[in-house]
Order: sequence, then C-alpha cells, then structure tokens
Amino acid sequence: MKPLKLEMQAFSTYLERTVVDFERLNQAGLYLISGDTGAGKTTLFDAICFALYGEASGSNRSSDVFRSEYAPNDIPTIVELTFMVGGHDYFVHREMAYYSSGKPKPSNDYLMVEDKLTKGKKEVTHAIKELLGVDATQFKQIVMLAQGEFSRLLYASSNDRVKIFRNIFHTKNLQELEDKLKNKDRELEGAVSKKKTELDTLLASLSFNTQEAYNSESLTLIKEHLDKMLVELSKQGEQREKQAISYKEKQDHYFSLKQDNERIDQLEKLKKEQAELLEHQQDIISKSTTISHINKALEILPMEKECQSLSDNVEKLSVEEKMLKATKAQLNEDEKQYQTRLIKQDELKKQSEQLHDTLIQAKRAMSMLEALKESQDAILLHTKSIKQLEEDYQVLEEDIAQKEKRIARDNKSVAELPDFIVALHQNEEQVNQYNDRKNKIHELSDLFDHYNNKVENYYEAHQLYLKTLTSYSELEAYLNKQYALRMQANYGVIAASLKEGEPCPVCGAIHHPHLAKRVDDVLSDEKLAALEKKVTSSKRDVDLKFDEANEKKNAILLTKQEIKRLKDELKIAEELDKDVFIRLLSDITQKKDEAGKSYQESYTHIEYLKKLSSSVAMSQKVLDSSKAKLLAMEKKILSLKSAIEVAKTSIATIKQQYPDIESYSKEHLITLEADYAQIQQDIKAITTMGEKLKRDQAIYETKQQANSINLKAAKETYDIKKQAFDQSLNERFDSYENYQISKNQQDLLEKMKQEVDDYHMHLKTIQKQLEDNEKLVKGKKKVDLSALEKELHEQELSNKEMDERYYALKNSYESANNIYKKMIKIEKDNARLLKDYQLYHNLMIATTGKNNANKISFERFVLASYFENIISFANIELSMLTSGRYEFKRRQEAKGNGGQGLDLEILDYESGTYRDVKSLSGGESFKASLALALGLSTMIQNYTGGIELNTLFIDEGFGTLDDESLSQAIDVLMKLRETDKVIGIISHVGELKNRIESGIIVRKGERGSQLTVTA
Amino acid sequence: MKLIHIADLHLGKMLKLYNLLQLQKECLIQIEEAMRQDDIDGLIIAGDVYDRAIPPQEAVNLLNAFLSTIINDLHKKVYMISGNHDSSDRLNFASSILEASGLFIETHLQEQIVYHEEDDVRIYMLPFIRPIDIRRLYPECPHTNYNDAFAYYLSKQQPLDHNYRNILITHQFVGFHALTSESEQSLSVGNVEVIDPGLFEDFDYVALGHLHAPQYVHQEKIRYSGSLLKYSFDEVKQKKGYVIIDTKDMSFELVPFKNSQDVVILKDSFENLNDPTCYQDYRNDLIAIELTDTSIIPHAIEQLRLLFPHVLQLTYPALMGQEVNDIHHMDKIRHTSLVELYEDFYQQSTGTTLDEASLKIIGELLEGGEIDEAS
Repeated sequence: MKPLKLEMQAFSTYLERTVVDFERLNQAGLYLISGDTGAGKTTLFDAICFALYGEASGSNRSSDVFRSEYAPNDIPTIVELTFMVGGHDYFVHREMAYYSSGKPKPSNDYLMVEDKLTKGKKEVTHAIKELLGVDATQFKQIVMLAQGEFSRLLYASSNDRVKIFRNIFHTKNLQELEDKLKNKDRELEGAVSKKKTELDTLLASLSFNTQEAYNSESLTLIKEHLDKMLVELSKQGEQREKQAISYKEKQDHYFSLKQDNERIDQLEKLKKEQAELLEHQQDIISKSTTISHINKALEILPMEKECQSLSDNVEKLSVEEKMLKATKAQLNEDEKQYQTRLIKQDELKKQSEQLHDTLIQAKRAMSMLEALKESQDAILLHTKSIKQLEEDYQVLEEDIAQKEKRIARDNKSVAELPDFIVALHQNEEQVNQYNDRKNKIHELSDLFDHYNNKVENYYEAHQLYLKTLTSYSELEAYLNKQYALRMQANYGVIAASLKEGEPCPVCGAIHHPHLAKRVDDVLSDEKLAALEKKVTSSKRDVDLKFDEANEKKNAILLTKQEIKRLKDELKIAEELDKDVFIRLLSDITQKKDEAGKSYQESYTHIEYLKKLSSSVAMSQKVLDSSKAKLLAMEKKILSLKSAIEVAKTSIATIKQQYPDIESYSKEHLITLEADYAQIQQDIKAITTMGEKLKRDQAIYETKQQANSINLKAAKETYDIKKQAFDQSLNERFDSYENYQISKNQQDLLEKMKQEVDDYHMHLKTIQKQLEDNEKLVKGKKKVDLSALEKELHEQELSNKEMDERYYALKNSYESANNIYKKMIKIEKDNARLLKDYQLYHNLMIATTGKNNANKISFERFVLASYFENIISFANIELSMLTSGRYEFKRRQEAKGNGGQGLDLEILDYESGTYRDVKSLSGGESFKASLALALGLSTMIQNYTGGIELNTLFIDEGFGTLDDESLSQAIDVLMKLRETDKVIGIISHVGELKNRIESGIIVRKGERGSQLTVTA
Repeated sequence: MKLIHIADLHLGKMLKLYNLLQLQKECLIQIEEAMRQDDIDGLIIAGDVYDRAIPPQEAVNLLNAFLSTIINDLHKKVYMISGNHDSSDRLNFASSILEASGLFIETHLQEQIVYHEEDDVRIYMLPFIRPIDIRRLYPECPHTNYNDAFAYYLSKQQPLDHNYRNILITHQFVGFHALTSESEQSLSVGNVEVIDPGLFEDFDYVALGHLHAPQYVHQEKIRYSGSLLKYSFDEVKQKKGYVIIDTKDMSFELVPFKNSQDVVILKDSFENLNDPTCYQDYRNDLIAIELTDTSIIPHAIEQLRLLFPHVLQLTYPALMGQEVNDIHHMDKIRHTSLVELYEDFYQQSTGTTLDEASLKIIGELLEGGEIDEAS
C-alpha cells in the first residue's frame, strides 16, 4: 500500500484544503516530516489511518477529536486518500459525522475502485480491510510505529501475536481445523455417553432385571431369561388349544338343540297371524269398489274445466261492447265545442298582425334616439379641444420668433473665424523660428567650451613632449659617456697588460708614458645593453609625444573654423564670451515666450468660435421642427371645427324623421311585446284542441269493429263444448251429484290402493312360512336347556382366564425381546463410536497442544516457523543497529499456562545471557521495535500473497537515541531505499534534517497548519 | 612554500561511547609541533572538522585552542573547508573577519572557486557541495549525479594560470576504486556520489577529505590525507598520519601520528583472551573482541573488561552464519502441503507417527484449505 495523494479539510489543525502529493516522496524512498511541536505532524498519520479505517493512529486519540476547532459549522471535515495496492489505484473519501446547529449530519463515506463505488462507513471499512488484508489494529501494529506505542508488537504476548499473524499468514484454516476437531470430539463424547445412558435405561426397564447398571454380562443374562420365557410360553400354548377344542364341541351341541326349540315356537305364532288377517277381508273389498269410481270421475274432469273458461270469455267481450258505446257519446259532445272555438281563432289572428307592425316601428325609433344622443356629446367635446389648441398655438409662435433672433446674432460671430485661423499660423511660425535660433546659440556655446579645453590639452601635451625630449637627450649623453668609458676601460685593460718595451696594439708605441687608467665603474655588458634598450625606448617615447601634441594642435584649428561658421550664421559680430552668450540667450527666450503667449490666446478663441458654429447648426434644426409643429396644430383646429358641423346636421335630420322621438321609451316597448306574445299563445291552444279530437275519433272506430267480431266467435265455441261434456257425464254416472262426490274423493285414492295391496301380500307370505315350518318341526318337541347352559358358561370363564395368562406372558416376552434387540444394536453402534471418539480425541489433544510439554498447537507450530523467519530478518537489521550486540530469539520452553510458541527474547552477546524484552532501555527498545517492524514487513513482502504493505511510518522515537545509534538507524533506513519500501519518519531531531533531503515541513499558523513538500 | 594537509578531524566523535577527544588532541599537538619546527607555511584542513552539525562544547574549545596556537602564536596561515558532517553556516562564523588574520574558511559554493594567492601558489577552496547546490547556482545544469554536476561546474570556471602552483582543497568521494571505511557516512544510495578523478587533472595537487583511509586516487597528486584516528574497527590496519607538501617541487612526505592508545581487533578464543599473560601490549588500547568460540560464553565481556578496561565491542563471528538456515527452512515450509506439515508437527509434539485413520480424518478436514498452501 503506497499513499499517492492525501487531501484534508477541517481536519484537526488543517483548516483549509491541504493537499499532500506523495509521488515524489515515494520516489525518494525515505522522507522526513518535520515541524514544531503541535504543528500537525502526527495528524498526517492520523489522516491516513482515518481515511482507511475511520480510526486514529494511536490508541490515545479517538476519532471525535478530529473535527477542527477552527472550522465553521458549514464546512465538513473531509479526508480523501488516493493509494495504490497491487498496481491499482484506489480512492477513498471520508467525512466526519458532526452536529451542525443541532442537526446531526450523516457521514458520507465512499470508496472508488475504477468504476465501482462502495458507499457507507462500515462497507468502506470492510472493503478496505479485504483489500489490504489487515484490519485497523493490525495495520497500526505493522505499518505505523505510532508515538509512544512502537513497542506494542515487541511487548505483545504470544496470544496477541497469534492474532496478528493469523490474519497475515492466512492460518485461519488451521484454527478452523482445531475448532472442527474440538467440536467433533465433543460431539462424539456426547454421543458415546448418550448411548450408555440409553443402555442403562433400557436395562432398567426390563422387569426381570437384577443389575444396577449395564455391563458386558447384561446381554447374556437377558438372553437366558428370554429363552426360559419362551419355553413356558409354548407349554401354555398347547394347553390352551386342547381346552378350546372341547369347549367348541359342547357348544355346537347346545346350539342345535336350541334351534329346534325356537322353530316350534315360531310355528304357533304364524298360525295366530293368519287368523287375524282373514277377519279384515270384507273391509278390503269395499275399498276396491270406491277406487274404481274415483278413477272414472277423473277421466271427465278436464272437459268440465274447458267449458267453464269459454263461458268466462264470452262474458268479458260483452262488457267491452257496452263501454265502447259510452265513449261514442262523449266524442260527439267534444266536436260541438271545437267548432265554436274555431271562430274565435280568426279574430285573434287579425289582432296579432296589427300589434306586430306597431312593434317594429317602436324598435326603429329607439335606435334613432341613441344616435341623437351621441352626436350631442361629440359636439361638446370638440368645442373644448379647439379652445386648448388655440392657446398652444399662440405660445409656440412667440417662441419661434425669439429663436430666430438669436441664431442671426450667432452667425455673425462665426463669420469671423477664418481670419483668426490665419493669424494663428503666423504665430506658430514665429515661435519655431525663435526656437531654432536658441538651439544654434547653445551649439555655439558648447563648441566654444570645447575649443578652450583643447587649447589647454595641447599646451599640456606640448610640455610633456619637451620634458621627454630633455630626458632622452640626457640618456643619450649618458650612453655616449658610457661608450667612451668603455673604450677607456678597454684601453685601461690593454694598458694594464702592457709591459714596457712591448708594442701597444692600438698605436704601436713601445714606450708607454701615459698609460690609460683602469676604469672600474664600467657598466657590465648586460647593463650596457639594458641602457641601450632604454635609450631606444626613450626615443620612441619622444616621437610618440611629439605626434600626440601635433594631433591636438590640428584639432584646435578645426574647432576654430567651426566656431567662425556658426557665428556668421547667427549674425553675431562681437567677440565670444560667457556674458555674450548669456545676453543672447535671455533675449531670444523672452521673444519666444511672448510669441508663445499670443499664440495660445488665438488658439483658445478659435476653439470657442468652432463650438459656437456647431451649436448654431443645432439651434437651426430645432427651429425648423417647431415651425412644422405650428402648421400641424392649425390643421387640427380646422378638422375639429368641420366635425362639429357634421354632428349638428345629423341631429337635425333625426328630429325631422321622428318629431316625437323623445316620447319613446323602453317600457313602452316591453309591454307591446308581452301583449303580442300572449295573443300568439291563445291561437296555438285552439289548434291543438282540434287535432286531439280527430285522433280520438279514429281510435274509437277501430275498437268497435274488432270487438263485435270476437264476441260472435266465442259464443259459438262454447255451445259445442258444453254439449260434449254432458254426454260423457251421462255415460259414466247416474247423476251429476255422484260425479261430484267421486270427484271430491280423489285425494284418498292412493292411500286406499296401498292398503289393499299390502293386505294381499301379507297373506301370501304367512301361508308360505307356515308350510315350511311344519315340515321342519315334524316329530320334535321342546327341550329344557338350562343345565347345559350353566356348564358352558363355567367353561367359558376358565377359558378366558387361561387366555389372559397366556397373552400376558406373550406380551412380556415380546417386549423384553425387543429391548434385547435394541440393546444389541446400541452396543454395536457404541463400539464404533468409541473407536472414532478415541481417534478424534487424540487428534484434538495433539492439534490444540494440550498434551505436549510445550503446549503448542498446530497453528502456533506453523506460525512459530514464520515467526522464526521474521526474527531472522529482524536480526539482520538489529545487528546493524546495535553493532552485533543484540539478537532476537524465540523462546522454546513453556512458561505458565497460556499458549506459547511466539514469545520473544533478546540474546545479549556481550554478557552472553538471554534477557527479557522488557529489560531493554528506551533507546534500545526503539531499535528493537524498529528492527522487528522492518523484519515483519520484509517477511510480509516476500512471502504472503496479497498483502502488500511496503509502507512504514515511524512517529518519533529517534529522540531516544544517541549520536552513534542515530547514525546507525539512519544508515539502516537508507539501506532500505534499495528495496521497494517507502519509509516516512516524523521527528524533530535536527541531525535527521541534514541527512534526509526529501520531506514535508509543517508550520502552524494562526488559522491552522500549512505544509510544504520538498523533494 | 610548505603546507600540511589533514582532513576528517571529526572532533568530538565517540567510538562506541568512548570519547576520542583526548587522542584527537594528541594528534593536533603533533601538527602544531611540526608546523613550528619544520618551517611549514600553512595548514590545509579538507573538511569534516566536527563530527556533527552542532558539535559538543569541548570539541569547539579544542579547535579554538588549536587554531589560535597556529594563527596567533605561530603566525601561519590556515585554509579550512566544511565537509558533509559540518554545518556550513555555523562553521562560516566570522569567516570574513578572520581572513585578515590568516584563517581562511570556505563553506558555501561560489560561482567561481575562491582562491588565495601566496607567492607563486594559488590555493583553491571548494567546500563540500551536493549536486542540488550546483543546480541552485546554475539552474540550467541538468545533471543530478555528483560526477556530471561537478564536471559542469568545473567547466564554468576560469582556466587556471599555470604560472602558479594550483592547489585544490575539496571534500568529496573521488575515485571509483577508493577504499572506504564503515565510519564514513554515505552521501547517497547506490554510488551516485563517486566523482571521476580525471576532472582534477589540471591542478598541481588536490587535497581531498571525506574518505578516512589515507590513499592517493589514480595519481599521487590527488590524495586523501585520511582521518586523524581510526574511527571504526575496519580501519585498524590503516596507518594514520598527515601529508607535508612542498610547492617548490611538488613533493610529498607522509608523517604518521603517534597516539597513546591504539584501536585494535583481537580475535581469539575466550580462554586465550582471558589469560593475563597474553596480549599484554594491548592492555590500554580500544579493543573490539571477536570470540572464535562456537557457543556463547556468559558474561564474557565483563570478565574481559577486568583485563582490558576499554573493550568496546564483543561479537561471535562463528555464530553469524545461522540465519541462512532459517530462511531455507522457511522455504521448505512454504512448499509443503498442510497435511505433510501436520504429520511433522504431530511427530514433533507427541513423538509418535500419525496412523492411517487419523491421517484420513486430517486430510478430510483440511480439504477446504488444501488449495491455498501454507503461504
């Protein structure tokens, strides 16, 4: 896990949005976070921890503390971290839930993996835990050595270490193995004991049981007993059977005798019955005759009914005829009335026409009245307008006159403009001329000064030349002197070697009266040569100086010429002098100023005139528009006047048409209309009456015809049917009354029929039975069976008793047998279970480490090997940090009751003894913790698939080290840069700043902390 | 003129909690004597004057006494630059005032290397710098490693006037095959600090500091004088001393230091070492003991300290090779299946082998876990 970018807002001391870019720091491999106390260094770690897990880095800080005190309520506390795991980038955003003016604001945490979004505080924490493979506590123990807590992993007990390593090295399945074995062991033990109890209970349930508890003999004893029971059972069985057979024989005999007795009784009874029946025979015969009568009556009943209905129909039709007659009379009456009304209708029609005309006229008059009123109003309005317009017209006229006067005046002034412009140009030229002259005077002055300078220079150069010349001449003289001396010296030398009598090489004389003297202070050859050189160089010098002086002289001449020229140009006659210049200059300046002033005046006046001319133009325009307005007003007045005339004429016309138009009013119109409507209604009523009458008459006609036809037909049918009925009646009955009687008895028909049939059947059966019984009973007599009965009964009782005994025994045998079978089965199961139980129990004890002296479980065994490896890696670092003095060792023997195997000891080479980790000093324990953390993280990196924790943060602790240790620690950390690790250190130790270039500097300001990243 | 060249004083340094100041003082006194007697004109100190950026008081006092003897009493010149252990700002205190007295201090990088002329000798002083310093001065320099950055910087310098003897004092890691010692601090990771000695061809002599072993690099005139004392136990074989340079003919003389205590390594069995008759000569020296015994002797160091009061360190070289085995053991575990692992464990903890039926049970239970190995 490498952090890439961290953003914080309103988090602890970071009020404003602060961004930390870790990319360059990661490249550096080792970086230092420095700053004053309380600036916010550990807060960075807190932020990372919070971003990942929603918790603080140290156990002393809880998450509530993180909200920045400086932040106003509406700014949320946000931490966002972009980090890389396994080559992929992840982004997590966390907010702090806080209270804003009483309302709780929910936290809005989310994690972004490419496109996938996980939301919610717990879900994000869970997802990150999955991703990194460690939860918050483990993360802190492995990745962060927090302030004051770095020794946690060092001092942790075996159990705590187990928890940490379990997650990292995925040995959870080993723990599960343990659990599974434990469960299984417990299960089996339970099963075994259950089986045992079952056996005990079953044993107890056996009635013949003599044992207390179940043991191996039990089964054999039970088997013996069961066999005995079986034997007894078979014996009893045989006995029973024998008795049953004898009982049966007796019983059969008894039953046959009993049957005969019964038959005899039966016969007597039947005879009695027969006699009874024969008594009723007469009654039955009479009932049969009645039945036949009733049947006959039923045959002709329908015919009677038909006749009755037909006569009813005839009755109905006659009534109808009578009613129709009454209707006819009514209709005649109505006809008469209608005729009278008809006459009245004509009158009404005439009246209505008259009224209609009057109505139309009245309407027309009304409309005219309105028009009249309109015209009168118009006239009034126009008169008013005309008055107003005339007033305005007056005012405008006056105004126009004024304006014209003013414009004429201005125009006069503007006409002067061209003259002024000309004057201005002249002024300008003059000013320029003066300027020119002034400049030239300045030039002349400068030249004059230069000329003076040059004259001086020339003088100096000339002097120098003279000086050089003198020195050269001196030198030359000297040189010549030296030549002469030399010569003399030569002569001296020669002279010295001359002996009297020998010829002189120079002059050949033999006598040497005046020998040349030796000259000693002759310059050496070298010095002479040097002198010669000096002379030549001096000559050169002289020539140089001469040329220089000459040059200067020429320059002077040139300047003089130039001055003359300028003087002529400017027409200055007098000799040049400082005063002259001053006078000339002041003169010209004055002239220039005056010209300037007058120029300025002209210029301003011209400007003024220009403005005036433009304003004149505008005024002219305004004037024109006013004039136009005046014209328009005139026109309007005229038009209004003509409108008034028109209105007056129309009023006159109307009055002519309708002289009494005033009299007309709305109410009059309304009454007229009402009357007219009324008349129309009456007329209509009469018409309707006539129509109704016609209709009624038509109806009556049709009805009358139909009814008469029907009546005739009905009468005929009725006569025919009546005749037929009478005939049938006479065939069957003597009189009509008999027929009536029989008809009324038809209800009893069914009952009687039934009685008769029953009687006959009954009689027949009895006769048959009688015959049968007589046959069977021939020659037999009744016998007394009481003694036999008693015998049978006694035997039956004893039989029952025997049966009971037998069945009881059978039951108990069977139940005991079942129990026995069950017990055998249970015994078998149990044996198997016991075997399994032993296996599992053994495994469990071995795996959980309860039996061995070291009390190491399997998981710990595996973890111990990992731990050994961590220690090996840690030892490499530790030996570097302590110059080989200390080494980690894993404790082998058990100590106490808790699970062991992961305890740590320190071997001190100097004293050659093992020491407890807790006995180390502060600085030494820091070194040991650091070594352990580094070893752990190296181990994780090399061996575990999935967990990538190649970041390490160390918060303080370096202050406890002396110089040499500090240097060693830094060397160790710097070496780690070669691996893929990134280590961040928080410290205020100055020495670290010198050695570690990259880092973050945190400063505390008034409004929170700021930080700068240097890399 | 004649000059003495020393470097890497590391005044105030502790060797395993033993204060070396006295021994350093002895060395400095020897230098003072040499300057007095052998007609030396100047002293060159090529960096790492102190051991830390903020040195202990006594170290400051020592340097103060030393320099005032040389400047005030002997009236000689001193040419001093800062090294990577020194704080450039602190060492630079009052440097411009001290120049008038003959103490020349350079601790910051200038555009042109500062030199001091004395008769026909020009002494160029280039303090310890990092590539970042060069790049701050010349932002267009693209190089981040020491060699290229240095070459760039040197290319920007005025050419040397060979009418003078040109001597360069600098504090860097020069030479690819130079001898290093444990007591030197590494300047960077992965050897980016090494500078090619060929860059200094032009100079008549290069007085180097930083590496503690006295040596010349590539040519005799490019030379490390070495540190005053042996500052770590891997320097015990080095002969520490100072260099006398004569500019007349550019000859060198190496003079060793004599100290009352030496730094030695004694490697023997505990028995021999504990014998009072052996190793008597080393009684008073600063010793690192390497016991050849193959098992740990309890309280070894306390016993030996009775004979040798200044035992600074005790190690067992024979026992150092054990870690390798453990790592092999780990590999083995990684590639073993869980079931086999369990058999081993069972064997170890109960002393009996696992029977068939139990093995089957374990195999079944671990079935789910068989797929990821014990990793």
